[in-house]
Amino acid sequence: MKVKKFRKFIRENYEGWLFNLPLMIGLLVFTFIPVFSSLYYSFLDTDGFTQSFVGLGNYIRIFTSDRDIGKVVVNTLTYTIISIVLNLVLSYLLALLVNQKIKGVKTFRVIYYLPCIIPLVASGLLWKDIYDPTYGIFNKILTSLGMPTSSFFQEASSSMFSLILMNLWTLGSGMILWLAAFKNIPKQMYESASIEGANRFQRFIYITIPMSTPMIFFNVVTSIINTLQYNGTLTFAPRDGRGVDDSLYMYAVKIYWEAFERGKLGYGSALAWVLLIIVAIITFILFRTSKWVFYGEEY
Amino acid sequence: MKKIFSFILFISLLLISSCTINSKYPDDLDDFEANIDLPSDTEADISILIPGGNVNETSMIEKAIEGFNLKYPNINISLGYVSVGSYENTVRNQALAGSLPDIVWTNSPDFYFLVDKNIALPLNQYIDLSEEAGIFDLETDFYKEYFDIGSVDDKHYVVPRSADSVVTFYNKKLLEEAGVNLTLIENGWSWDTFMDVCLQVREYLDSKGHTDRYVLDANLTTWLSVNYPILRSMGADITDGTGKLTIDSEETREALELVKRMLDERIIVPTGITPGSSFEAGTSAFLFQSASVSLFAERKELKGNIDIVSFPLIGENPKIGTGIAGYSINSASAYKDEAWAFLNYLISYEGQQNMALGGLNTPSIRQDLADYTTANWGEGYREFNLDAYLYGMEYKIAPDFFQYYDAKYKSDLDLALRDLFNNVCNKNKTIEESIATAVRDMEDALES
Repeated sequence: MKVKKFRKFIRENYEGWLFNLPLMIGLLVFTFIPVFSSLYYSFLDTDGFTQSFVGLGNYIRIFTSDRDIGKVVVNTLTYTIISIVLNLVLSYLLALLVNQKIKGVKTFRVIYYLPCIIPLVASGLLWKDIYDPTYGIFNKILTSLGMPTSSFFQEASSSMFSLILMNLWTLGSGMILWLAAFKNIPKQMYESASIEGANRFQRFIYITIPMSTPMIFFNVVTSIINTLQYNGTLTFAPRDGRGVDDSLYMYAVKIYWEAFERGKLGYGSALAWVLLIIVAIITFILFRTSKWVFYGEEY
Repeated sequence: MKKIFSFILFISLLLISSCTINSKYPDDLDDFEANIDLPSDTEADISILIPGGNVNETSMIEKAIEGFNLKYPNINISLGYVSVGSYENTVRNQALAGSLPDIVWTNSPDFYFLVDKNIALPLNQYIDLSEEAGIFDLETDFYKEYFDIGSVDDKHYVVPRSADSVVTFYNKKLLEEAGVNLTLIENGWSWDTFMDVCLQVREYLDSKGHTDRYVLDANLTTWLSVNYPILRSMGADITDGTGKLTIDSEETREALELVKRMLDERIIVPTGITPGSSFEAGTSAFLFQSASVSLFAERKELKGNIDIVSFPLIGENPKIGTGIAGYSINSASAYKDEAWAFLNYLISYEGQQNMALGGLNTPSIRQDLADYTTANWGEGYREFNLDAYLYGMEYKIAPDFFQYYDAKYKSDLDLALRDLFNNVCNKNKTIEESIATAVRDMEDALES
């Protein structure tokens, strides 16, 4: 009976399945198999050539005997927290600024968004030049303003700050999302509020912010996922992406370093799965505590 | 039903995943029968992995293939490329995928990775058969030292394509302007003489207001072929030969003092500073390099102004950095004999002469081609002091300490040694701090 039903289902839907097939094959080959492979590798001590089963050994090592992990976690959390807060707040303010009805504002929107279309590697190399302690334009600007110069990525003390500053370069991507959210706020709400006597600040606090909470939530979730997985330093930071004195040694860089520099595919896979679990837990907590997000249906 | 289907899918994916690790590399690499008597009509398609971005390497190999195909017209050889920066990763992936070419370019110390993973085939059978057949004699026909660099436990894994060595490139014009007596600069010159000349150039640059320029492009913080021989010249080493770390020693301190002095006298650039000069731009006086003269001599800024001299000899037990760039045979290759036939041609008199025409301007690996006034590798550059490359064979050393450690420690040890010199070249760090960091990093690496 079930077989008959299944055949009927296939007969009626085979065209749809055929259209889906390339995507399904792509997902299977390039996503699911690698994901499951990495899960399998994470229980092995393997460099690809030889392998031995170590059970939870790799996972235990992460939490007990890996001397790098403390520094890596501190660096990653520092970067994640500061970077996300700064990016969200500044891109929000930037979006508010370019959401005004001012002549030529569209040009500014384009200018602010332009850096986002530059590939990560190209912008990494670009910033390497901008941050050159001797010839970089950044220090030249600081000098012309009579301010002290910086060593940027060449000193451990200034590396993290330089990286966070550098990533403000792509504020435009957040700005675009905020703008989209602002455009979806019904104008009648502002008009009604104005009639009721609400000033500009009150309209911002009681209409703009609540109405853009779905986008705030979306930005927070995606930003956390992206920044925890950040490995952009591999393209420009000293010491193969780890930075001077490991000052930029972050979790995703460590995964790369373990798997591909040290050839410990098993340990690298275990690190990746721990990151996946952490991201999943954080995302779960964010969703469970998302009552502050206003989706409009109760309006 | 859905749950059962999901469970079956999960198990299937796990099973498929578990099949993806499947090394094709044999445990016993000597378990094959070498044949050096291939008939000239042998048919085969073989491939060679060479470093991408190196125009010289491509053109010299193409010249070698051209000559080889005159003898074996039915052996087709194709080229594949690898980025030197991601060498291990690329070779590992290709080896595991079964797509690694039959012949693999390698160097010291990267070949230790090939040996550790059983990728490189021991060539002793082929060498022994060739010697028995009178094709060559390793001791007398070649600079055997270079074959030894590519060896572990008396097994040869690499056929060196040339006799590379670190030499000192110098800018004659700049030195003359600084009033340096050029007769002081001769093969076998000492480190003290070198430093005196550097100080004289420093004084000259300062008098011209070029305070942001530096005298020497040392490649000290990035290249083991320069920094490791400096350590060894002072009697220091990374290990005692048993794997035990010996970097925290008085000898290391003496070697680092020598580097610190260069830093204090502004001969070399401190870490984190971009120098206002470079040898390539014609604004630095010296450069430690092993590349061929042709790479610099034709540059507009340097044309007619440069020459080379041996690496300055340090102390009573001097060392000169060397290494090999050469080729190994992939142990999983189905065409080992054909691959050897090509490598045999590569180091033959004819092969070396042909490669030189393709841009191999460093000394030949063959002793009978040592005379650069007649050998092709000196063609076009005979007025240069090319003897510098071959000067002091007894002093030559390669960074061989990797052989005492598992290949998985290589990246960390390499980084720790580079960091040691980076830190010493950092004005804010002392020698003691630099050594302490190196010891910690190396111990961490070995305990990981």
